[in-house]
Amino acid sequence: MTSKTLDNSNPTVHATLSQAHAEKPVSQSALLANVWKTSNDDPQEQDSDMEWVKSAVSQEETGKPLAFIGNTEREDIDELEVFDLLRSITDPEHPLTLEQLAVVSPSQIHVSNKQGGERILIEFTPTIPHCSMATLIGLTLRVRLLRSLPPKYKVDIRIKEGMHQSENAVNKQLNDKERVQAALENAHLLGVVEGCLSSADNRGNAGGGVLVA
Amino acid sequence: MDVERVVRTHISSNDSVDEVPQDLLEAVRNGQVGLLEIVRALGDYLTSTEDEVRVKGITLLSNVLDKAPAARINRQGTQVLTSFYCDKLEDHECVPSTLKGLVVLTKLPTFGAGEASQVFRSLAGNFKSKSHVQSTRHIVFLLVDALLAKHLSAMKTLGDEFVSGYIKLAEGEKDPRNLILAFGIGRVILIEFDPYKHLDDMFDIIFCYFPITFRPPPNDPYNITPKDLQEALRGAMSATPRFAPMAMPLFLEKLPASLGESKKDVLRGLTACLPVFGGRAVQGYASDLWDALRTEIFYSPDAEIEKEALLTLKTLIATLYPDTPETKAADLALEIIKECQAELKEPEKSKAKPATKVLMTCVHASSLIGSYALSQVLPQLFRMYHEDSEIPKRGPILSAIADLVKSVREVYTAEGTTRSHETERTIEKYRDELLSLMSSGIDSRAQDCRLPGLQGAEHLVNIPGFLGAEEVTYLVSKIDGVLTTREPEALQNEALKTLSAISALTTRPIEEHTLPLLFDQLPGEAPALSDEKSRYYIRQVLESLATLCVQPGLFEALHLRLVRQFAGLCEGSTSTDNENMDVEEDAIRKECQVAFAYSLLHAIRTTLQRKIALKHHDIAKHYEHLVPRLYSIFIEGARTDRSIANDPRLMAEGAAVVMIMTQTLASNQQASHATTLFEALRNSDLIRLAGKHGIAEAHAGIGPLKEDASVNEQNLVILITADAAGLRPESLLCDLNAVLQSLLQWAIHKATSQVQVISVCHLMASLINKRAQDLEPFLSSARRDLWSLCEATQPLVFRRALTMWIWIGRALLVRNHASGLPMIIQVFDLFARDNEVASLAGASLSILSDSHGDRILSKENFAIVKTLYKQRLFSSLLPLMIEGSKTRQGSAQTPYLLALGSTIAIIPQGLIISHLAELLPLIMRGLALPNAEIRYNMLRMLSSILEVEGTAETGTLLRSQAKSLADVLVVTATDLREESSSPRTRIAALACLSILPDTIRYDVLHTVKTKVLKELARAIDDPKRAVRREAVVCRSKWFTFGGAGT
Repeated sequence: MTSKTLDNSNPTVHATLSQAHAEKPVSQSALLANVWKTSNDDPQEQDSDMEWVKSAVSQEETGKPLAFIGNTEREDIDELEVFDLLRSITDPEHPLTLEQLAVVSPSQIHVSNKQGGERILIEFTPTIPHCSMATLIGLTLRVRLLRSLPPKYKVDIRIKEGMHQSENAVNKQLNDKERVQAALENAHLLGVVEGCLSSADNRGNAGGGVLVA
Repeated sequence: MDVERVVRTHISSNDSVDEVPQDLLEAVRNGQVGLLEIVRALGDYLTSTEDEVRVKGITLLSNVLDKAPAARINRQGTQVLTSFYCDKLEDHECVPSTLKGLVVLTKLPTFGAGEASQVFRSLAGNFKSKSHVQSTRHIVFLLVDALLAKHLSAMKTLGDEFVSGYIKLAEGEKDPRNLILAFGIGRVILIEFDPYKHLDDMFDIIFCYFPITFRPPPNDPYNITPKDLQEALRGAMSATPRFAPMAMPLFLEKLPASLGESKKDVLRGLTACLPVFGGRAVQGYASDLWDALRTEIFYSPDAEIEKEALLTLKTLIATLYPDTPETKAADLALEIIKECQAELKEPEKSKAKPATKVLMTCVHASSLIGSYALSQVLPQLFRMYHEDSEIPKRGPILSAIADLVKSVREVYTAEGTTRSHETERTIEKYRDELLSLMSSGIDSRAQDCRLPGLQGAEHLVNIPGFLGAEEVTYLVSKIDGVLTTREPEALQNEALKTLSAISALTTRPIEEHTLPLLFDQLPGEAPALSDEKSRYYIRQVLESLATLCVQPGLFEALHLRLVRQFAGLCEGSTSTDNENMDVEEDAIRKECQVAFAYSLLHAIRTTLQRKIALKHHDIAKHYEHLVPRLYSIFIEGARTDRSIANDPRLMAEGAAVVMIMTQTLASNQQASHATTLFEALRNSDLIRLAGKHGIAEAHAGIGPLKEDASVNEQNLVILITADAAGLRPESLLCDLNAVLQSLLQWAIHKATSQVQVISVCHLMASLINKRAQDLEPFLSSARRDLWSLCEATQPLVFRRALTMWIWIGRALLVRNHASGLPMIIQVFDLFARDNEVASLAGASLSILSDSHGDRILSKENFAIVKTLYKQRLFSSLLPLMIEGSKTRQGSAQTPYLLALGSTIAIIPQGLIISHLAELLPLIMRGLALPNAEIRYNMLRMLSSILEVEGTAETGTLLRSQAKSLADVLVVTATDLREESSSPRTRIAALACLSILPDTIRYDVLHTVKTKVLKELARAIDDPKRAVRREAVVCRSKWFTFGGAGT
């Protein structure tokens, strides 16, 4: 493990304060459903002791209370959600997540949900400017988003400006569909990418990364 | 008896080798025939030139010996037989049977030391391990094990002869079953014989297996795990300090070379051996060992390996520096600490964390090295914090300090430790600095300082005997600052954890400082609908209160304050301050107010539940202050239409508090309370329940059952139900027949809402369950009346009667009462009626699985619950459901599917599995029903079926259906129609679909992979975030299913 020289053998580790998803309900029905929450921890939380009354009240023939109108509001994909998809990907070189190494952060993600022109821009920061893993990290981000975002989004993945010595070349490679496709036909490369992705669904929960051979 | 004839017949017959002629055995047992007679009779056969005959002869003897009573074999017989068997060991073919005989002989009381030596010598001289199968070798190990256990001194007299003999027997053994024994024997030899002459050989036959890479075959009948083997081997390796010079180089060679599990095994081996080898022997290798351990600690991506390496390091330090006055911190310890200090100069880098862990390990390992390490590192960190560091480094510095304090705390609070702050005073001289750093961390504006500040404070508080009262109060005031500002969850939780730890030690600073501050944070009115932030904060404050006030000294302050505020909200809501307010706006404001009031009651209930979980006994004493007060608030509210207290949801929460309180009353208190309760109900005189809080004149004649009661008064039945549900059966002394009869009539004909009906059903179910033996008059009339109402056509009456019917059935079922099951089966008669009635009947069976019913009919509520009632119930119902849906077509099937879907959640899994072939098609059909709830239930059961490791049969069944399952699940997961789907259903479908790749072979499903992935592209675009989340997990699973490929 140590015999192989790493590009960056002692990178800075950043604190990962867990961020509750900033729910921003706008519709009245969503707000009304929220007033009954009793815990901040779990967005799915249901007070099971109360369910019988709520279900009985909802069966009432007349005069349903407001909270039973039903919350059908669409929750759009936003920056935090995209970040959540990426944060727990393991770095190819360290058993640390991209969030811990501050390679990705919510502020470097931009989402536009304009109907017909849905776009997402990801800027990522390699830990050092000569990082040879930058393309690999970018490719991993690309694969993750290909698999987990609706196809209607056009996704751009770039290195944050000025953060890498060959950023143009890397950017070009990452946003060229055919080159991405070709890279993924390389079984070894795909294996490495899968390794980095194997921890992606931790989504900031179970701390630390997973062994990457 | 003619022994010779019997033997001759046996040998020449075609009987199998292991059979023993019964008459012979009988004769031996009752003493007619001696064993030696059999030997004599066997005579020529034992020396026959035919292998088969010899084997048959000796086996017969061994089998008879095995079954003969020990008393029949005297000392002389034992000697003769032992000699005989020892000679026979030379006969290769007969060895297995001979060994079997010897095992029996060694167990005899007449088997002495002389025989033991003789047996061992013969074994060592004649037995060639390599030419025998595993089972034969196994007997040899058992034999040696028995000899060592019973005749240790005889074996010791053999001395080196024994050791060298055993080495020959054990050499080259490969079978795990034998090795387990061999390692145990090895350990005994090393400890008892101290075989320094054969040390090399002993080392070889033990260490050649290290590290163990054994993987048991699947379904291994012998149940030997790698862990068993490793532990046995470790026992042998660590049996003698003499191994050190040979073992240490081996360890150093194996450690970097091994991977994964073997590496952990090497580390564990070291941890076991080091203390035995001792400091002097280890000294020379210590520096190399540290080099190897450092690699694991600083670079291993596997957290478990890191943990084991730290444990080894701890043992190494403890071995090198034992707790004696002459020990000095020298050489290696200094080097290790210096290295860590160097890494900590860059506290924000990734190596700082493992460096801190190494230092923590030093503290754990030895008082001397630990305090030396702290005396070096803490001042350095303090200096860095104050002087030369940029703000971003402060968080990591504090975090390192907090971790070091944590290690001190862990050492002093470990179970059975003799180390304590009083005796060591390791961090005494850093007291002020630690306190001020932690509090400045807590005060800091940078979030990454506040968390370690809080953690450090928590550790300081938890070091027994460290902080004084004033210091604790000081910390509390700092932490309060975090708790009362709008901080992220993680900080709040940490602050709360620290304060809870403090409250367990002393409640005073919490009561005097923290609680008033928190109470002040609660607004007098509910925040406006759009004010999500305030609501978030209120939840945080209430959660803090519900956590802290669990302490016996603090609960009173909580319920008094929150109930007062609750009362204020209810009173405030009775007047309309703005006549012009728009109707909808008013309704929304009211909804917010109700929800806020609800959250106050909920905090009380949460605290109570936590107290019960902690088995606190101070709950009942709050009864007088809490319960009558709640009654008075709700009764007062019922007088006016405007009061939010009339909201059934609020009332149900109040009722939940009342139920818990009633449960905690003693039997005699309950009995008198029960009398008051039922009298108040019968006489519509509820105000009696409000005790001194009630104003009797103003509220006379209020009760839910009153002839002209308003809806609000009627709703009060919710409180009565909860109160009565908490009573013990023996406290229910009054005659309940009349009460039940009036409740039944009221619920069917008078009740004005579904909530009231259900609540009365709960009440009746609880009472019937507890006193069924006295209620036969009511039950028989109720069965008659209700069923005739079920035949009625008036839909409302029918629905209510059916609901009550099933609730009563359930109450009886739970206690295994004879009429329970027939009542439920009778419901199936309704399936033949018209569609609407039939469907309603099927869906109403969900009452059987209703979770609130579990709470009402629970042990906490003193209900009579028999454990196996579900098994009994569904062994009858399941065939009915299966049969019913099989024989019917189209919509006539629906009620059966509904019945299955409503109850499937509580059907014992074993029953489901045994009927799986018939149920699977029904479950799939049920998934097509336009009913979100039913689909959800089916999906949950399907997931649990897929998750259990079933029999080969169920495996085949699931495989054959896997493709259609995947299809149905994809459809369910992407169904957005509001009437038939809910986010919960879609999440359950996705979760179920995620299990398929783990349980079904790829070749079965590879044809649907592309389709599933394509369809899931819609699921990851679901309108709900929670569904998308599950869909992403599911889709990743399917992408990697059967090898990657985009």
